[in-house]
Amino acid sequence: MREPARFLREPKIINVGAKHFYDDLKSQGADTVHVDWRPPAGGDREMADLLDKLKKL
Amino acid sequence: MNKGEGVRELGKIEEANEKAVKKIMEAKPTVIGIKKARDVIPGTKEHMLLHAGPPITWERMCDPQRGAVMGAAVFEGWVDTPEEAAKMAERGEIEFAACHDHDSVGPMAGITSPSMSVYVVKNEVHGNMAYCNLNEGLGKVLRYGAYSEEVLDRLRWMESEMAPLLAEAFKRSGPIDLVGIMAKALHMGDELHCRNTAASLIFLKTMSPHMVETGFDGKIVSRVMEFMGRNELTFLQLSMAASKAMLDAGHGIDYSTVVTTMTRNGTDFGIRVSGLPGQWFTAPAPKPKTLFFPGFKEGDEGGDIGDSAIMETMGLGNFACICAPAVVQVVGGTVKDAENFTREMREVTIARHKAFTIPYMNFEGTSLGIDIRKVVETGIEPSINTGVTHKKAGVGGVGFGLVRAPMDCFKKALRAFVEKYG
Repeated sequence: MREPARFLREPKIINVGAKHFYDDLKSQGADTVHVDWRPPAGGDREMADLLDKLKKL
Repeated sequence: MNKGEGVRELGKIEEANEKAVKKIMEAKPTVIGIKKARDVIPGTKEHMLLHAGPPITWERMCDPQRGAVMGAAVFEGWVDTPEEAAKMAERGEIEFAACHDHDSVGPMAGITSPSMSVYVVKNEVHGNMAYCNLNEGLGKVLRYGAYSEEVLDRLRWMESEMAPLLAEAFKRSGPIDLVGIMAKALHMGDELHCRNTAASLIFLKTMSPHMVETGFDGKIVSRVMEFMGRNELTFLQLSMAASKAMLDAGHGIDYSTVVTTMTRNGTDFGIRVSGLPGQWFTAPAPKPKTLFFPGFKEGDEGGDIGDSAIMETMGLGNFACICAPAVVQVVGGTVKDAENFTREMREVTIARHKAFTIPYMNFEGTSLGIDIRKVVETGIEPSINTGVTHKKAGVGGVGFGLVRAPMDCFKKALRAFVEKYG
């Protein structure tokens, strides 16, 4: 049986959004980077709708 | 412009915002003199006091702002004691109005009374004016809500010696370009809100020969120069008035989502938006995260206060704090924090200033044009560094700190904007 590819043995993890997942991985020595992403308007539906309306102007 | 030819057609908002930042950037504020507030500030009346922040009544006014009102009423000679001044205000015999609604700005409590001298700043390009009173220094001062005899004596001295001397000196100096001084100071370690050390010295150097030439008594000239040289915030008032003059040039442009005012009165935080003239959008004023002067502790601080957030509205102050590594410690941060703040504020602004540049970031322009859409979309609240008052009237300043403009102001503005234009 062939050896799994190196990237599967030593995963490189991209964490998107909640930063505590990244912090936990980092503390266990994982090779990880964090992407600081939040849903538009922090998930506030009313604000997201208002922003959408303005995109049509 | 034709679509499909590689040229992007701008939407109405983008077009309006480009126009707003262009006007802000091409504005040329110059200080042309010093006059009594009653003689130059439009709409002022006897028994009227201008204050920092969005409009507020005596009943809702925070303690330090009330303290400054009480001191100003005694200074004007309307009453003999601060206690009588409070009663006068309770009876509704003092009219209050926001500095911003009268082409003016006032740091901290921002109380500007009719007999106070103010710098007269003219935007030479668009013709609009801006006014700001003179800086008293740090600690026990009226703008921090103190009103003891020592505070009032200093104000009287400023009116009897400092203002007349500077007024005469301005007649000799002619208009002084403020953008030039501010741009230079950003390269000398100022961010022009909490640190105006370099700008104050450049201003003093500029005025000195003219002050000497006035023929005023040498002792008066010496006292004024000593006072201005010792006070590292001498130029703050001019940084603020210049920023007010520049930002007002970009106010009132239909479809523009650019923020032209951020300000606080210790009770409310308020913003104004270019495309929504005549409207304030407010939320409760937060408490600054404060680094205290010796003798003060957590819990002593009052709510966020002052028109000086006009500096951050202009993309300076904490938006440009990487220009001023020395000030970072004063507000309780690291140099890396300063860089992060400066870069983070790129996320909520739409342009970079051509005259104001940042040496540490390869002379990139400072951020300009806070966009309410970007603030709401990213969830990033504009950051401000600030002086902090004691929560009680009569004490004065307790330190410097950091604060964020409340998201609710921007959400309310966005709702109003969609209602008007959407």
